[in-house]
Amino acid sequence: MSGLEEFRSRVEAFLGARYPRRPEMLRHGQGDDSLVGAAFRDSDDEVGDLQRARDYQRELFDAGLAWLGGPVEYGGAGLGAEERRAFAEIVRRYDVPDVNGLLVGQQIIAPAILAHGSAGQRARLLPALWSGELVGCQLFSEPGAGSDLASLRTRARRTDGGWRVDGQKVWSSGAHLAHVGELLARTSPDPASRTRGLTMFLLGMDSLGVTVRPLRQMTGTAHFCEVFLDDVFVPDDAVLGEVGGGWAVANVSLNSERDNFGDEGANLFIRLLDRLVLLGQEIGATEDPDVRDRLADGYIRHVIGQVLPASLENAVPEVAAAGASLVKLFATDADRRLAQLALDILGPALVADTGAWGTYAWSRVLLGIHATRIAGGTDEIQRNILAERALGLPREARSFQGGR
Amino acid sequence: MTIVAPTEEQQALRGMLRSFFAERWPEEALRTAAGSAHGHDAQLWKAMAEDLGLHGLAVPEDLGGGGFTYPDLLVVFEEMGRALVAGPFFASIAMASTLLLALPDRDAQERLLPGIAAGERIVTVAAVETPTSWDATRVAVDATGTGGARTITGEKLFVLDAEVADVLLVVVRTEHGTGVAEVDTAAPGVRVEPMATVDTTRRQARIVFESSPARLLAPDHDATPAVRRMCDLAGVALAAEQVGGAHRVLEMATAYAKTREQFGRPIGGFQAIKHLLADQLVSIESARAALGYAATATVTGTGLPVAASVAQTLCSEVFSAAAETNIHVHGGIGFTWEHQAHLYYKRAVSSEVLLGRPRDHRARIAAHLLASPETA
Repeated sequence: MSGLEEFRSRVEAFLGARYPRRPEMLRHGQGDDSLVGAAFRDSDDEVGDLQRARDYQRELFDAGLAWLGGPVEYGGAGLGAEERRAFAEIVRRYDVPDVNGLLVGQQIIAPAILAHGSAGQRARLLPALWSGELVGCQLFSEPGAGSDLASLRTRARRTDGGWRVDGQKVWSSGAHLAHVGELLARTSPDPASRTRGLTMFLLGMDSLGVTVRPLRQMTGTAHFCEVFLDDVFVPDDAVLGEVGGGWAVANVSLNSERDNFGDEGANLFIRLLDRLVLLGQEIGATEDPDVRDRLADGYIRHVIGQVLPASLENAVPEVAAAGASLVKLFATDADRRLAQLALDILGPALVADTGAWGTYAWSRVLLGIHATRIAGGTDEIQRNILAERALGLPREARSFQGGR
Repeated sequence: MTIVAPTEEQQALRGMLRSFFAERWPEEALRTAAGSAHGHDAQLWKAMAEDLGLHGLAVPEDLGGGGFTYPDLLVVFEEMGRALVAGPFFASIAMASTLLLALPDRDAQERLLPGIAAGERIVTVAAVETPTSWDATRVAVDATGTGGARTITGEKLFVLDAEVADVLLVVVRTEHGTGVAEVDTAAPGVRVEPMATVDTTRRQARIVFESSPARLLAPDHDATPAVRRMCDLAGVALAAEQVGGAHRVLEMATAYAKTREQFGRPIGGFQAIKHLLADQLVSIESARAALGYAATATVTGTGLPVAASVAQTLCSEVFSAAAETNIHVHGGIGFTWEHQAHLYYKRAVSSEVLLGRPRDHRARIAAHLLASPETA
């Protein structure tokens, strides 16, 4: 048996012993009709949901199946892309807990710790994030600093043994349930370079002076938060990377976040194309040539979405390096087209609940897709990245920068 | 769902071809061929065949070829699309050679393939009869007679590079369904009427047959599977050309946007232009992924018809959009005869509808998808 086959059977054995298999064939009218993952779903037991995700993650971690690509010394499995793809493919067949609530810690914060953390931070935090012991959140955006992140105003001032932080953060997914926040703050107001004066901290969310207020999203759920920081003490050993080197750390996180959007593991939406085909057949819409044409378009984008990351590995280096932005634009556009087709197929049954299985459920998709075009860098920021880094076009005018 | 990464050999082949065409196919050569009577550069053709052995690359060695894989050959098409090479290579290699290899007729293969592989004989395929049907197996022209000896009367449209071809492979109706008949272009009753074409780097003709003598290949078989296979494989070759062309026009537009100044700065510094080009890059990389996916299917053999249609749809639309964007970014200069932008655009729109419109391929994909809805 090859290494990959052995790995596959190990994953099958692990999941098979613990979780029920999903039905082989997806059928219209069968089971839960939700089309969105935990990020857009209502729950009356948010804490319980997260706990189930953490328990599952703990088991994965103990079995060496949590951090497949990570270095062995920090609890990773040291495996390659093939194994990661195999795991994603197999896990989809089992009814496992939704781990969306752990993704910020694992996919966004952990890469920054791996790249810039001290030996102690890596040894302590990487296994904790990947075993589900610690839940993370991002503290980057501010009311006045969105796409122009480097204009942020949250200040960290030197004090005995550490720093005192004042400011306000926003759009922090899961901050109300998180243990650790990846906090970007200004440590020296250098008018010559806005980015040089930034430092990254790993903030304990239970610190005195941290107030978290969940914000209700347009989907009706409250998964992202505003976070107020009022004279919060952060010890020196919580600085991630160099003092004044926070921008580079932030970029590791932002890149990883973009990568994650093209990844089905993010589980924002669930099998949209399959469900749309079944829905179309159920309600007799699939004889319509326009519907057929657009379902085929959806299929094409589904197939390409799966092979695009591997294809980009063989692109010219500048394009490969900006691949995450490219995949994010492609994937979010594909989802948006499917949601629009669902609206055209369902008509008023998408915006008013007739009670029929799997119809009004599409409203959550139609509302949810807008988040994907904004979070992790807007479509426009991704296009700037591609134009500047992959195509070498001139950078944005700097005339409005500096001096704040 | 996987794609195979390019081999070292393919990367070397790509590098070699890029320098070869840069040297042997300068813009003057392209313009000369595009403006010539037949759109064919015999000298380049000879060098491609004799110096590089490109024509027979994917033909088995015992039939006079190089015995390489179809994905190796796709590298050639991608580079030729990039350089906008004119002439009958696509007709003779992607179509005729592929069709012969798919037909169960060893004699015909031995008679025709060594000449094709050596670049000594140009063969093209005559299939389509009406502008609305791209399905090469839905033909009405009959091959009357019995066994191999047949006579055909009728008309074929959109036949690629027929004026320079020595032999035609004519898709006909037979008692078994579909057949492929070999007809000499010099045979009695064969009239090649050039059609005016938007793209003069790839010519098309109407061919009228009046009791023309024809040799039916694999006369005891229905050739439908062979013709379908040719359409799929040629479709992937066309996708490779389209990806190559699309990359080239994006490079042209990007280079111009960096140097052309308006309002005191390069136009590539304005988001209106940056985002336009970034969107093209997303499309072109998705087309390249589709090509890789279809190229893999040519080797594994699984799901080739759908993979070919996926690649054809995406690569067709992407190349046309990229070529249009290139004209637009260049402004007035992009609309001139002197600039190359129109040559690529004309190739793009001609290719988009050559082997079926994108919507035809999507209709085919929809039929597949609705028959087995699980995409997982």
